[in-house]
Amino acid sequence: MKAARHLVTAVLIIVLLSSGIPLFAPEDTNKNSVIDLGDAILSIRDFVRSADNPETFTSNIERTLTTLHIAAGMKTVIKASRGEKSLNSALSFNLPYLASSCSFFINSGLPAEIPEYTFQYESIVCSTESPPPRHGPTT
Amino acid sequence: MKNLRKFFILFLLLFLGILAFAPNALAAKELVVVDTNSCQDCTAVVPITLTGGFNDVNGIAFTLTYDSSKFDFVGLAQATTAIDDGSTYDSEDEETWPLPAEVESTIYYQANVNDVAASDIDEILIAAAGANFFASDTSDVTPFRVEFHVKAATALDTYAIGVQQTIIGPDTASSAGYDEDTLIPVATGLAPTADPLTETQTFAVTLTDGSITVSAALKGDVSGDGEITSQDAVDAFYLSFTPWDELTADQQFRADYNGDGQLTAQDAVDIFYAQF
Repeated sequence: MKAARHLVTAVLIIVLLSSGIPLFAPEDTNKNSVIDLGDAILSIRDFVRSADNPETFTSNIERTLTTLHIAAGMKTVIKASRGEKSLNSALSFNLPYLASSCSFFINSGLPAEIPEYTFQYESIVCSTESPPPRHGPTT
Repeated sequence: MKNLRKFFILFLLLFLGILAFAPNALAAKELVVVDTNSCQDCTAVVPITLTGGFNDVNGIAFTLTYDSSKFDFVGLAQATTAIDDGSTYDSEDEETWPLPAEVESTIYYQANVNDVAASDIDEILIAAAGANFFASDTSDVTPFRVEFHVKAATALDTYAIGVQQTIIGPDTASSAGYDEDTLIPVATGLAPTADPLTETQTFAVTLTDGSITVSAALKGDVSGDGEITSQDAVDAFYLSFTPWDELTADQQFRADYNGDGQLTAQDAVDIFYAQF
């Protein structure tokens, strides 16, 4: 009973103390409770200072871009997962997938021909060497 | 009495001087979407120009509106200052990391397309910021250009590219710390040496819409005779000595062959080779 009382008291103290601690989003660099361009500017300044520091570089660029992302009306948090290369989905040609061995055009404003040797995998043969038989075997 | 007359004349001169120079001194900040020309199935390059002194601003946020049945948003292109959306860096490869000096002189940005339901008018929400001010003095500055692809079926006409203040919300307001939909300031400034906890300064900015005129003009056909010849290359070369702002929109479109918003000898060379 005594132990339970101590436990309740401890929990109560922690709750009372933590209620007074202001909580800020990581992107809220200037701690003014809102994420805006001021935070983006300060993030970039931190980024300038950390650009040659491997330990903080990644987190600082992610924080900068996330802040700008929020200021540009989106709430998605940008965070590059370990091992993933790019933040831009348009640059995902390095992912393994099956592709036609024929060259083709991607219609993205400017036509870009993707030569077949850039792909690692080939699985589709576009033209057969000999045409299929027109009739089934006679019995 | 004589002294009084001198004082009156001096006062009059001072008053006239204030009238003459006040408009420049009190020039309001303005974000201008510059009118531009393009052809069907071409890339239209729309400069975003900041006037009225952005030498105390290092962050801007605004929303462009455009007719998505006529244009596709391609992206932002560099003008005078380096820009970066962070898409090329690899967190695992230090070789791809920029140097501190590069970071300091780069404008970082995000541009998000908001596909407005039940409407052809879509929005592009843009936020950009840098460590330094956008300009070193009060002269006009173009931080970047917005590229649109003009769809092949777009009729020859002039189409508005609107600009308005960005509204945070409705579903994003809480994640940004706001209780309700909020108009965010277009321009924000913070001195490079200011304390991190210093309040940032926001500025009122006049927003001016622009347009894209889709015409049948042929890029590279400077003379306007309907075909690209060596003469067009020569004309473009001579026009390259004329300041960009003094060229007509039609000349800018026809002679700026590579569409980088500048007319240089390279455009003349490109036009020369284009005739073959």
